[in-house]
This record gives sequence, C-alpha cells and structure tokens, in this order.
Amino acid sequence: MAARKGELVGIIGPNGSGKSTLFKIIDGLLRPSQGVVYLAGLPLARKTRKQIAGQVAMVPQENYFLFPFSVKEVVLMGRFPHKGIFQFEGDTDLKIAQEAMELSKCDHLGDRSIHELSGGERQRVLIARALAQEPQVLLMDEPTTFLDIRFRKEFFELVSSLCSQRGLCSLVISHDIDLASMYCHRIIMLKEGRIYAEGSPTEVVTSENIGEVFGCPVLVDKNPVTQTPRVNII
Amino acid sequence: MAVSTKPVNLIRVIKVSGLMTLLLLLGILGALLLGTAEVGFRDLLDLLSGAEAKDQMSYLIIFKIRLPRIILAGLAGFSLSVGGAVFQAILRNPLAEPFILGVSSGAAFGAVLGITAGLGFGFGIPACAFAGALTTVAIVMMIARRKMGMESATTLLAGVIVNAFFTAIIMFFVATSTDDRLHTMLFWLYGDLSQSRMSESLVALPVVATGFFLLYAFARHLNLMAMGEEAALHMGVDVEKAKIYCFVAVSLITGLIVSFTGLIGFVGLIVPHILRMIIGPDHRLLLPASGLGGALFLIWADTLARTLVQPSELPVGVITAAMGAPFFIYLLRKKGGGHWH
Amino acid sequence: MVIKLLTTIFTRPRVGLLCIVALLALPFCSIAEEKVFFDALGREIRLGGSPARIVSLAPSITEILYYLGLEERVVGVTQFSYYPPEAKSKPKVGSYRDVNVEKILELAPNLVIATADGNEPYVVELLEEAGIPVYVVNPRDIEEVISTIGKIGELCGVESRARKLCKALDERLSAVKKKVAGLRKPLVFLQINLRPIMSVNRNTFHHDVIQTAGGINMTADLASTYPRISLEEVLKRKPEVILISCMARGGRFKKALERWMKWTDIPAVKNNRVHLVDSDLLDRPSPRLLDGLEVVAQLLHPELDW
Repeated sequence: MAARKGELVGIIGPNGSGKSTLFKIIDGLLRPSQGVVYLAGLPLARKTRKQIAGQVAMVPQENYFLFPFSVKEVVLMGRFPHKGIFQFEGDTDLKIAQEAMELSKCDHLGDRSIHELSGGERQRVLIARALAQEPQVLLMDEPTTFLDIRFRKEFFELVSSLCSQRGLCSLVISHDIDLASMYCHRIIMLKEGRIYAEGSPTEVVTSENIGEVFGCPVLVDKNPVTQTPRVNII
Repeated sequence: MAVSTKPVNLIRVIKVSGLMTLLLLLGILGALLLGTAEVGFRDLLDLLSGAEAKDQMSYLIIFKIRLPRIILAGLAGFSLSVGGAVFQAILRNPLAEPFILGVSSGAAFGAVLGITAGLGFGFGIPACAFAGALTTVAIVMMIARRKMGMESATTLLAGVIVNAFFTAIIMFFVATSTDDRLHTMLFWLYGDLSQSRMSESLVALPVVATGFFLLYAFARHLNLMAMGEEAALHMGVDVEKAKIYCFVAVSLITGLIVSFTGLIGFVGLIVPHILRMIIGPDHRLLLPASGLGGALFLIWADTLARTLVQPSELPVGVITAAMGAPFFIYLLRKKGGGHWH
Repeated sequence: MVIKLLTTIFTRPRVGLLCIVALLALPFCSIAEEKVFFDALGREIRLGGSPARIVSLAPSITEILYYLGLEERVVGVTQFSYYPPEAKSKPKVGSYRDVNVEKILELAPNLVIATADGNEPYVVELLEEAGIPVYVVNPRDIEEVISTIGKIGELCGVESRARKLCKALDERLSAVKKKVAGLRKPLVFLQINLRPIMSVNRNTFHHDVIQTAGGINMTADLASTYPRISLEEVLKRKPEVILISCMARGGRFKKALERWMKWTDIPAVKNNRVHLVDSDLLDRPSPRLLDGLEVVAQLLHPELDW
C-alpha cells in the first residue's frame, strides 16, 4: 500500500485485523517479516527512532498520564525528535507548540494540568503534541473514541484541513465508517492481516464488502446530503 | 503549585539548584554543630576558617568524625533520591526506589557474607557488598530481559522475587551467627554511618557525579517515558537503551553507596515525591532537586540518629523510616489527593 | 502373706536367697536415698545419688564440669562449647539459645544444668515434665561464679574436690583485691564490638572484672546491658585505658587497635594503654574469669610487680 502527501486515508476493519499492527510497522516499532517500508523514498529500517519520530507522528489510542504535567509541557514533549541531549526548548519550539495547540483548539488549556481535562480535551492535546513533532505523516489510532458527535465532526474537519493546507499525509484508524467515508480520500479495508479492498470510499464501502469482512449483514446506501456511503445495520 | 506555568529552561534549573544547594550548606553547618560533644558556633567558624583550634578535641570531632560522616550521608542521600526519581519514571510505579530491583538484597547478602567471614570494613566488606549488588542486578536484568526487552511489570516482579530470595538467605545467616557478628549485621542492615571515613566519600564522589551526569542526559527521556513506553517510542525515545543505561547507572551508584553505608531505605521513595509536589514533574528540574533534597534529608536523619539517644546511636535507616512516612502522609493530605493515574 | 513367703523360701531356694538379701539390704538403701538441693532460682531438685549422665546447657557450665574433673559424666553439651577442646567431641543438644529438647530426652540424662540468663524457661519446664531434674545457675559476679562451682561440685557428689578448687580460686581473687587496694582507679573503656562500637554496663561479668581489678568502667551507668556508644562520646569521656575484648583469632582486631591510635587526644592512646584481651576470659561465668581478672589487673596496674 502507499499514501501520498496531502492524502487522508481511512483504515477500517474488524477487531484483530491488524490495524494497530500496521501502524506500528509504519512507525518502525515492528519489523515486517516480509516487505519494506519506504518513507519519503528512503527505507525505514535505516533510520533511528528519533529520525522516524521527526517524520512520523502517532496519536495513540490509550494514554497514560502518570505525572501532572501541564498541557503546554505535554505538547512541548513533541519537540523531542528535534532537540539535542542537553538542549532546552527555545522560542522556536514554544512558537511551534503554540501553533499546534491553536490548530488543535486547545491553546486555552495551556496552563492546566493534564489530569484535569476531559477525554475529548486530552485527545486534542495529544493531537497538538503529534503536530508539534512537525511530522510529514500523521497516524491516528481510533482518535474519536471519546468524542461526542460534534467533536467527531470537528476532528475530521481539522485533519482534513491539515492534509489539504499543510500537505500532511494522514492515516486514520476508525470504527466510525460513515464519518471516515465522508472525509477520507481513500479507504483501506483490512481483513485478517491482509488488505481486502482499497480505493475511494464509494468503491470500498459496499454492503458486500462490509458483510464479508465484518461478518455483519448491512445495507450501504448514500448519505442524502454528502453523497458519501452510509452504513445501516440490518 | 504542582503545575508549572512556564516550561523548564536552563535559568530555572540553575535557580532551583542554587536555592537547594544553599539550603544544603546551611543544613551541613547545622549538622556540624550537633552531637554528643559540645562544639560552639564560634569554635566551629574558627575551625572552618582554618584558624587554630581551641583544643585538639574539637578539631578531631569536627574534621575526623562529623564532617566525613555528613559528607558520606549527603552523597548517599543524593544517590538514593535521584535513583528513586529515575526508577519511578522508568517503572511508572510510585513505590519504586533503587532497592526494589535487588540492589539492596544483593549488597546485604554480600555484606553479611563478608561479616561472617570476619572481613573488615576498610575494604573487605564494602567489596563484597558491591559485588553482591552488581550480581543481583545482573540476575534481575537477565530474568526480566526477554525477546521484547525489559517490560516494566516483569522487571519489577523479577526484582521483588530476587529480593525475597536473598532476604531469606540473609535471615539464615542472621539466625545462625554468633553474637558479635549479629550486632554488626543488624546495624548494617539498617544503615550505619558511624565511623564513616573521608576516603569513602572521596571514592564515592566521582562515581556519583558521573552517574548523575549520565542520568541527567536522560532527563527528557524520562519525562516522555512517564507517558508510557509506546508513546515515548512514538515520540522518538529509544526506550530500551534509555532503560538499560539508567538502570545500570542507578544500580552502580546505589550499589557503591550501600556497600559503604549499609541499607538505608525510604529516601528514594519519599524525597522525590515531596519535591515533585513542590516543583513539578519535569525531570530536568526534579533530578537535581531530588538529589540535593535527598542529601539534606539524610544528613539530618543521620544527625538525629546520633543525637536522639545520646550517648548511644540508632541506625539511620530507623530514622528515615520513622521520619519519612508520617511527613509524606501530611504532605499528601495537604495537597489534596494523589496525582497518580 | 508371710506364710506364702516362708513357703517360697523353703521350696525354691534361689528365690528365697534373693528375698533374704533384699530384706537385709533394706537398711543400706536408706543411706543411698534422695538428696534435696535448691538452685539459684530457689527451685527444689531431688537427686537419687550422684548423677552419672549430665547435660550442660551453656559453654560456661561445660567448662565448670570439666574443671571439676567430671568429663566422663558429660553426655551432652551445647554448640560453641569449645573449651576445653575435648568438649568438642561431645554430642550436641543445640545452641544455648535454641535447645533441642528431643535430643536431650534421647540422651536420657539424670541431671541437666541450665543458666537463668540465656536458656529459655520453657526448656526447663519441658524437661521437668519429662521427669528430668534441671538445676539452674545464675552467677552475677566473680564471687557468685566461685560459689556456683562449689554448688555444682556438691550437686554431682565431688564436694571435697570442689572445695579445694574453690579455695584456690578464692585465694587468687583475694590476692588481686589486696594488691590493688587503695590504688588510684583508672577510667577503663571496654569495647566488645567493633562496629557499631559497643561496651558493657554494670550488669555484666566484664564490669565486675574491671571493678575488682581496680578500675572504673566508663559505661557502667548506661541503660542497656551492651550499649552502643558513639565515637564522639568516647573522645569526650577520655578513658585512660582501652581494652578491646576479642576472640583470640582475627587480624581485624589488630586493625581496630590501629584505628584507635589515630585519636591521640584520648589519654589511653597517648599513653599507649590500648590492649587486646581474649573475650573468653571476660564474658562467661567460668573459672577462666579469674584468669581474666588477673590479666586485666596487670593491664590496669602495670606499676605493681606481678
């Protein structure tokens, strides 16, 4: 599979189909038993963890906040790949972090402790942190889990604009197939560790495909307003 | 108070370190004044400024008894506290301190063997203790390290098991030793700073300084690793490398210190927590602050140990346990609840 | 009854002979009757004749038994009964802190000698229940040690030998007392452990030895029997003599002596009066305590001619 600059790709598939594993491979955390990963033309295997992190950023599904860092401090952690060992964050870093927080709409939370935030607010902070890494590729593993309808839409709007305006390549794992179909340029459907279907949302999200891959009978019709695929469970 | 409004920068680190160093120096001055023998403030100043001592005894007491002891206590407190902060971040566990991973039981086992064999405290027993510490650390690392690397939960478990095993063996020696050996063992097992010598501090100082320097290089890594190992990996931290370096550095320093001072617990547990509540969780600030705070804490614990039941002495580990726990509870209640996930 | 007896005597001559001998022996049995003793705790002990199988529950008791020439009667000793060396070959009944009662029962002694200070009371109770007489000793100072030797001698049926030995010991004791009478008593610091530094208070044999040898025990009034004391305190109190009580073997005690030499401010160090003393001579209630007394007296008062 491949993904291009400015593309928003949706990764869908049943539990255990290998979506998270795919991300780990793209991020260099796991070595593929077969095949090679190329990042901007260069093989991933040759890069150090730090180099990869400077190009690929991940917003993980689970989060662990042991210590009460402030939002600003958490976002600044994203600058790690670009700093030396004893270097402290400078003005440029602060600016980049600020910008990331504005994009992710959490700049008003800057001085609050991460422990005080709601699930949705935390999600936005983590997105800001990923953006602070100044990545070329953004990986998001089920980022809308804790968000309500409005924030889910806002999330996809944000990612979509990041892709088109900043040329970010984003891969989003989501169980929200309708929303993914609405915003993603392409959808990749995984089944049992292999790509089952790949293409535009209309091509991939069909009743047969969903029924076959998810093992759940559905009817896929068109969203009357957006004309994108809509999944109805029957 | 726990949340900093501005991210850490060099100036803040210097400011906080400077303040704590000042407190430490004041603490040392105070500790020099206290003891079973009387040494007045004026006399102390005279002695420190190099002037002629009023009597030989004051000179001996300050420079040959109290000062070496205070310095070793400071180095020990520094190492144990920094080690505690580092292990709490790496293992993501609030109860972690250097001893949890086998350093203490290994050193104790070595020391008990040395004491039973009749070796002296000049070189024999510290050498045995140090060897024991390193051996157990190696064992724990071997057990914990599998194909996927050192998972925190597994490492902790390995450390606990190794500790339990060696503690049982130590008890065997304690139970079957003759009276004279027994007293020495028991005193050592709870920390013994009496008869500390300058030479011990001189050996420990460069090791502690190097170790701290190495650990400080990983300070930012520790911040990220506290967010979870996967998250840290995603952000670019080579987690395995960081863990191994930090683990080995802490074990080396604490193994060395323990071989001189015996087992002193609680410092690595209490001091980093208290400081984290006051200055925040960024390790670039927390590591130097914990170190200096730990030094002050242990110097004063030892001062109490040698003055509370004059002319007798208590093992300093008893004091750290008695002081540490209630103070921590008080601070915890004041700040309103924990910060743990 | 008598008719039956007379009939047995005349019809079965052998049985009859036995009965007559038994009847005639009766008066003599009353001579070998039970003796009653009272031990240091006031307990009553009844012994029927001299005990032939004795178990000792402390190394010092073993020493006393050998001193009284009773080694053949000793059937069990505790661990660390290393003096005299022959005692090492005797069967062991555990350590004096942790006595193996089963082993004692196996040995079937007629007498067990225990100490009040060291042996557990329940051991005494168990042995009593098993019908074995237990004699508890509790000497607190040199004089009581000598009298204990005498009592044990009496208990075991060697009074005259014991009396002679005790008289000799008494003479040695008086000799030392006489020699040091009226002399100035130096301040003595006795170190029994290297690290932590530990000494002895007034409730110990060591203390009695020091005092009887004409010295003052520096740590006599501290609360704990074997108090831990800081280096500063020793410096502060300025002892005139330092005695390091150690086991005969061990180079580390030489090291301890060398370490004291650094503190030239202490009178004992300045005047070269830091000495090693064999701990066995000071720490146990045995005849060797008198040896210890003589050694210490010489060290405390070298000006006299010994």
